Amino acid sequence: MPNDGATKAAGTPVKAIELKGVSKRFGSDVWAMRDVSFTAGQGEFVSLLGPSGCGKTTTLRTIAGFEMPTQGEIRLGDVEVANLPPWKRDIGVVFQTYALFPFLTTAENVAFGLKMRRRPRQEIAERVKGALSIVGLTGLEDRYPRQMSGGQRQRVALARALVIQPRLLLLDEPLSNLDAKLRDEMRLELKRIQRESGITTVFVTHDQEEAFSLSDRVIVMNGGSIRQMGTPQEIWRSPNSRFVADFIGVENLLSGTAEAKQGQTVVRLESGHMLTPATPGPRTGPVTVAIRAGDIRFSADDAPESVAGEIVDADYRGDMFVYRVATAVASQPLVVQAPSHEKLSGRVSLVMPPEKMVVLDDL
Amino acid sequence: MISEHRGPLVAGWLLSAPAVVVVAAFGILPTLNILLEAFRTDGTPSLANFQGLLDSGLAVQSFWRTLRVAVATTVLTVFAGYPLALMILKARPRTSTIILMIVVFPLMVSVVVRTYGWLVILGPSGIINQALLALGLVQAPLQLVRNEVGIIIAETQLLLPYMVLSLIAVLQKVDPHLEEAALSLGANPVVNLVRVILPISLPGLLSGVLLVFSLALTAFATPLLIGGPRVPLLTTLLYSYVFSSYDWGAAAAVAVVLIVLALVFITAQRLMAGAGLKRHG
Repeated sequence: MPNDGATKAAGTPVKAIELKGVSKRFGSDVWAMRDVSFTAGQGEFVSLLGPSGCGKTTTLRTIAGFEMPTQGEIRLGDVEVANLPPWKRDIGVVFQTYALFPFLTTAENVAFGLKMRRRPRQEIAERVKGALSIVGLTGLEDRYPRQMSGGQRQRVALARALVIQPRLLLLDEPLSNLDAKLRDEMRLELKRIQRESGITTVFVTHDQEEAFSLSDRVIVMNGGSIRQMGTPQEIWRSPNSRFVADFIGVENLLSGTAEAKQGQTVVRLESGHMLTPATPGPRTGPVTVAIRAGDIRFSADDAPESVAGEIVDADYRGDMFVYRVATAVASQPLVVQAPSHEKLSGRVSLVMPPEKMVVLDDL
Repeated sequence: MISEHRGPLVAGWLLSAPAVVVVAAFGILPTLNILLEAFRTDGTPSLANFQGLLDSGLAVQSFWRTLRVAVATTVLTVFAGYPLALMILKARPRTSTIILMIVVFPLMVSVVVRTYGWLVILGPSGIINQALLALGLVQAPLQLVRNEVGIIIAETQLLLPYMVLSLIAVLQKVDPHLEEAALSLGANPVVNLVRVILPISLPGLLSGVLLVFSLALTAFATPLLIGGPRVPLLTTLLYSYVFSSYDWGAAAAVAVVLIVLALVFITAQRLMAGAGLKRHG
């Protein structure tokens, strides 16, 4: 992390941005954000992840100053900005639509923010040149946005936001208008540029893969509230609710009821089947048992604790097969991954290792 | 290949033939006749009709008055129309519909009704003068009708919708994030308006200016009813040549002047728009 030095020098971690109890209401009763609080350290890359309508974009727009929070505090460093207009916040924003000025060339687009800051011409020219070389657009200074590809426009938008050396960089789904190959390429670029510039970044996305690959920390949102915060590894390993598990793509979510039985917590599924997760949830009552497709194994028929099932279909993914297996355990077929050298069909036995099961709040 | 393309083409010509005949017989030929008439005196080619216009103080005055009124009206519709267009786009859907209705309403009212409405408002004993007198701001009623001021006011109101609609057509398509991008880069709303919104709306502004200017140039009913015969514009002058002095040659010459004015202006606007388009794409 490029800014560790600065953080340590200050003694306490520098909070580049802090939201405290921010809520945003539209109209009389639509809450787009409810009590959203989080911080990001200097140089940190934080993702706001969630389905559309979860409040992630409103959160970003509120930080940028395009929306005024109904209540709560927003601090950039030690400046309270909730009542500052966007043009006084010093925040760089990259939009999903890129929002380049169509009547300006690449160089003029990038220079816009510096002109607003009345920097000397010489300095503007140098910084524009530098920013364009960082995003790899040297030589395209005189192109108009319409003469460039989506990926190039994306880079111009990024250069335009970075060149003002903002206190914070906000990225609103910047990759979602690119095709798959370009998206992967830009993702790596984005990560490199952010690391090199060391600018604290808040990234909004609905794509968990993007969020996990780019972020130091991921904030999962739903219904205007934060549902879970943590490093990508923490969230991947231990989602804290059915919603989060579902959203990050845990394939098998089995509804049941946690019961205490002989000093042990077991989960009775809706089918009546009993599961004994190695790490039971903290409470009894309705829960969800989550287990990934890759954690369920095919086994010999006579293995203990095995479940009988029948393969419904097999989806070939090159390096593996993804099977859907109908069992008596759940009404929905279980999703199971296996290496592609063994194509299976017909009746099979499955083992669900207790240590791979995660018991989640049923929310 | 060729026959495939010729088939529908021939059919198209055939089908449009009746319309072409009608337009030619009742539109193009009479117009050409008028144009020829302008360049003839007693059946022989001459420029006497134009010389006559140049020698007539009234005609020269009308020419300049027409230009003044058209320019003033255009400028006023720009300055009134731009804020209105922005307001309509920014307002909530309900409010913006209401404002739009009010702006477009003049187009749905008969020109005579609308013009007499202005006479009632602007006249010596009209609402505006009554109010000014009552407030003690003026000693005697202001002359707001039967002069250029009245014509300009009435035409501005009449032509405002064309300007507003042209601007809305362009501004509507602007990515709202563009404005936010400008704000986040440090542009305050005024700078944003001048440096971002204005350049983007230039094509709409140009087409609005073209529309309003050419309509103001050729307006007839409003100058006739509000201005009256003492403050003629080219259109009302033409009318009086035809119906008062029966001077068809002079009338034809005025018509030619009007056509040339319109062509000059359209060409200038085209050139400007072309230059603008190169930048806008």
